[in-house]
Amino acid sequence: MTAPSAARRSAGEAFGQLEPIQASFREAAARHLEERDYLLAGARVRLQSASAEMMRRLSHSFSHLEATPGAAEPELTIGLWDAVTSGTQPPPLPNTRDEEAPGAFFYYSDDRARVGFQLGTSGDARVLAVYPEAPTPAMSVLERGGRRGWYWVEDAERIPYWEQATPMVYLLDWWLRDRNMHMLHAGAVGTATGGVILVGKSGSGKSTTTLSALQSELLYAGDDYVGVSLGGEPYVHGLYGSGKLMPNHVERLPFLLDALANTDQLDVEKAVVYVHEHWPDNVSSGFPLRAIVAPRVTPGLGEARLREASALEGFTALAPSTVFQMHTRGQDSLTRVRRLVETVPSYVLELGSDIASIPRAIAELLGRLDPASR
Amino acid sequence: MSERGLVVNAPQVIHETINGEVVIINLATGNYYSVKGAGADVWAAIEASPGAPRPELIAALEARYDGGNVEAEVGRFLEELCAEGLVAETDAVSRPAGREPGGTRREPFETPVLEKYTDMQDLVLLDPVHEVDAAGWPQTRPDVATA
Repeated sequence: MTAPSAARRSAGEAFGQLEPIQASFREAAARHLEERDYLLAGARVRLQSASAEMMRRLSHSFSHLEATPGAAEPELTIGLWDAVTSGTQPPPLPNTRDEEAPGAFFYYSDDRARVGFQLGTSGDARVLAVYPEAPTPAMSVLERGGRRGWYWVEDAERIPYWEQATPMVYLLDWWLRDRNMHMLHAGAVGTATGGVILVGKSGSGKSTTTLSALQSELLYAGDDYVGVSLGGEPYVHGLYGSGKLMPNHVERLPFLLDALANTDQLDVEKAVVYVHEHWPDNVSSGFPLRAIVAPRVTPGLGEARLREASALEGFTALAPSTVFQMHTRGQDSLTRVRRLVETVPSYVLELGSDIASIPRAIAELLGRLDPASR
Repeated sequence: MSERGLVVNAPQVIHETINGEVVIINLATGNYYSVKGAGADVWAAIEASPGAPRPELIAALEARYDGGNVEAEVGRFLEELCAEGLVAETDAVSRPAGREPGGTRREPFETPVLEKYTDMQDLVLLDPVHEVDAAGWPQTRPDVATA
């Protein structure tokens, strides 16, 4: 079947209007519908999918948070559908003009909804021949003040590996913000009584640090994105059970080798591990946030060591990467990060060659920061 | 020619101040910056008096500092902020807020420095953002079908 091409389609002013989006989903759901419930950041979220493949790909990373279906009304219901599987026309999409970057993001918001469209690439066989992992066009929609969201893609079979590892980050970030939470570009590890977020740009050692915790007593709450509650005591919410790291960094964590989900794709993809499937007892849905930790790879160092950092250091490690990754609410993101670094202490974690010492250093810090130990 | 005022180039430029240091992010370019000391004072003056013209901003800062070539250094710094797209000119000129009453002691002047970081540029180049309002959508191209 040929996909209706998002790149060629445009509906001008209709983009961002909820009614045609709902109508498009209803049309697809009339042919097939399956649903699953998850507890995300303390709330029930229902995925309703008109595509079995889409449900499979987008629910994988949430499976450790699956809840008994129908046990309660969901606080958010997300409709999932794609054009190829359902054979339906795409919902109205923006005119993407001459933009050619597949990662280009078109964002619209009004008092009814936030809508974001990721351009992706066409399903043209010639494109796929030279770019097999070409991401499919995708649209995220969240109704303001409501309980409904939608996530449409052109072709469920072309949902890229990174989207499967951390699905729907924009949609969930918008939803979290409405609940006084915030999606951060951070990993998180800790214990039931408290944990840290690991922050920094790509290459800083963030993933190595979070995944090293799997060989310790520390619990894992996320590697790339976590939710954080800002009201009262800051609290980390683990959302995704996945972890990603550069293929050449796997050799530092050889215990991951048998758990990698994409061993045959490491020439073009980051290494992905679904932590909850291999270390189910090490995964946490969240804990109180005790500190912000910025890993720094430190050549020549053996054991990892921590040093106190200023709020400014914590801010500069966390804010730019979060703002540029979650780019639809710039000043709001920055202000929330400032509030966070003014609430919890920041540390720099210097990483050396002794990987086992990394979780030890974090566990020692958490012991010192535990209110019960003071 | 009448003097134009200066404003923070929002919304593409966002900023926060922590412990006296300002972190400024240009969402359009992917660059981010830090300024402290006199540079943070200049930024605060622009933010406090949106639309203030250069000479009046400089005069307000000259009154604050002791020593140094405030006029030339602040003037150069303002041009650097404009060149980086962090500050924009506006026809909506306003007068800067008067100096807060207080002691007459003036602070020593240090040359303002704009520290620039470019390590996030790739994110913006690879994933450019087009944030538009309802009226801002481009017209449907005649060559695209909406069948």
